[in-house]
Amino acid sequence: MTVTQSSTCPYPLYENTLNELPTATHTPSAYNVVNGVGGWSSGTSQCVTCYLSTQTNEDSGPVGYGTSIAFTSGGQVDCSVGGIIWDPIIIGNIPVCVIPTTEETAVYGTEATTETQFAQTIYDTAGDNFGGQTVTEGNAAPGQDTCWGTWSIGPRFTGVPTNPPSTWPVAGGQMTGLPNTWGPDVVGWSTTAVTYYRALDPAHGVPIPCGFRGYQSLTISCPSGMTATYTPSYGNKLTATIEQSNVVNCRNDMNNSACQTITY
Amino acid sequence: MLFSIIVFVTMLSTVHVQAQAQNDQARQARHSRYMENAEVQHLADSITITANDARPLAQAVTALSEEYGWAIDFEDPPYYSKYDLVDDTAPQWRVAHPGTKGVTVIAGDTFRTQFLNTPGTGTSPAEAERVLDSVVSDYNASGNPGRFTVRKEGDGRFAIVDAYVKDENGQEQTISPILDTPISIQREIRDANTTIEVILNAVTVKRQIKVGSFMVPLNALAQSQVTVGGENIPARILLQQTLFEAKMKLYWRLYYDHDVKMYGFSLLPLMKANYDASGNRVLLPSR
Repeated sequence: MTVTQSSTCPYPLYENTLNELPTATHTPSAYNVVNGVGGWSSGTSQCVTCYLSTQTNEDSGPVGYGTSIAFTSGGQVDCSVGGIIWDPIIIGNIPVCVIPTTEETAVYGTEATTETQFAQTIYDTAGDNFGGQTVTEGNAAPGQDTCWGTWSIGPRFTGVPTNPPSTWPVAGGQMTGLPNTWGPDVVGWSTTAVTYYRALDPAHGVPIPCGFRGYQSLTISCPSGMTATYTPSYGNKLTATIEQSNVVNCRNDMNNSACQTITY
Repeated sequence: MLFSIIVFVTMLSTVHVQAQAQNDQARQARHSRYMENAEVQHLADSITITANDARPLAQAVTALSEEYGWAIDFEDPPYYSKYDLVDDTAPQWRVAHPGTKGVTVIAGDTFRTQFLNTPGTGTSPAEAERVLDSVVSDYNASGNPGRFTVRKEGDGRFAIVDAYVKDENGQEQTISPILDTPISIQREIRDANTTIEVILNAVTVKRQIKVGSFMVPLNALAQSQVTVGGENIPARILLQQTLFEAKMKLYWRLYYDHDVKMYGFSLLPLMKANYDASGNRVLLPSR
């Protein structure tokens, strides 16, 4: 810090300031107010050349889904000799994007003989209604396929298809009238693949049962246009197993699992 | 006399066991040569693609598609002769099923192609056609199974279709690609998945050979409504219309298996290779 004497500053005051400099400190303060909750909070004073930092976290309390809430944030650094030396402030609104904390899956029906339709119901602790929002599927991790061989007439399953992405409106489409429910998410092998692998895998040296395994991530859209992934980083495990006389399709979701065994 | 017969049977049996052991060794060697993906090498003014697979042209074409983001469909011919197929029966299965017919695989092996790479390559359908013609021409001269032609399908889309297979005498036999089959389906609004099923079923009925949907992006297709149909229209055109109306960047693979006399139809996402500063190849969905 450099102190210079202005023409209006009397010498004793200038001298005092110079004397105080070696013991001067800087004190950081943080200001965070979200939805009317919060305020100023001071951190620890530090020497004038030391790194300093302070942080506060505020909980807005319950907010309405799809609304925007006001926030103001700022900070100050107070010099024990020179007073306030840094004072930025930010004011704005945060669009609320509430994400499901729970998802349960259930068998909804059968599609194309060997595939299973699953319906999912999502919840959060506040009991919000997610109706009208969109759930989009992604690939959380590479998939595995124990049926495939280089001789196969089909490609190897390498993961949940994301191009084009599959999307479902919550409580829309086939799930209209079912609050907070999206789907159907179809999991399984085609009848062609089941018949083919059963007939040829053993002679090629690939044992039956065999199957695929994929890891699905899910993202929900919010009215503000934001999107948020709500599944854990490892995703939901989807499996489809070809047995001698059955196919078994399973969806291992965040909070439960559901399987359908189809005799085919 | 009895002694002679026993000796003869023993000799035959020995010859059979030796032939089987050679078969198994050849199978193992072939499997070890197969490549996971074709290798793309960028040289000063050219690109070399090396493939080794039962369907080496399909593997090379996939690499090419990823290199430039081109939509290239691929269709197997109905291979059936000893010139195009080799035994692929697992030894342990053969032991457990003596006297039962085993299984085969297309006799594809190494295929290498090189083509001129200019700054304009990949920028226009004409350039794509030039490269594809060069690659397919190299393949047709490589001695690998089948002979193919390039079809320009419009809208930047191409198909590599079967033209010839070998018969049991090793003579080339002209093929009528199965997706050229004219079919009639009701023009109505259906989801894209159902539309594809309807088209493939119509081909199955018309050609009396199973053409089944093997692996497609089910959820995305089921969520897309299309209006496709007409009288005596090649199945290929109807499939193209379905994908076009569904606005999906997908390409198809139509593979044939002689052991079950069946075609499998699959739709795969169009990917594009990106190279980082170290030259590492990363595939991203083509948007």
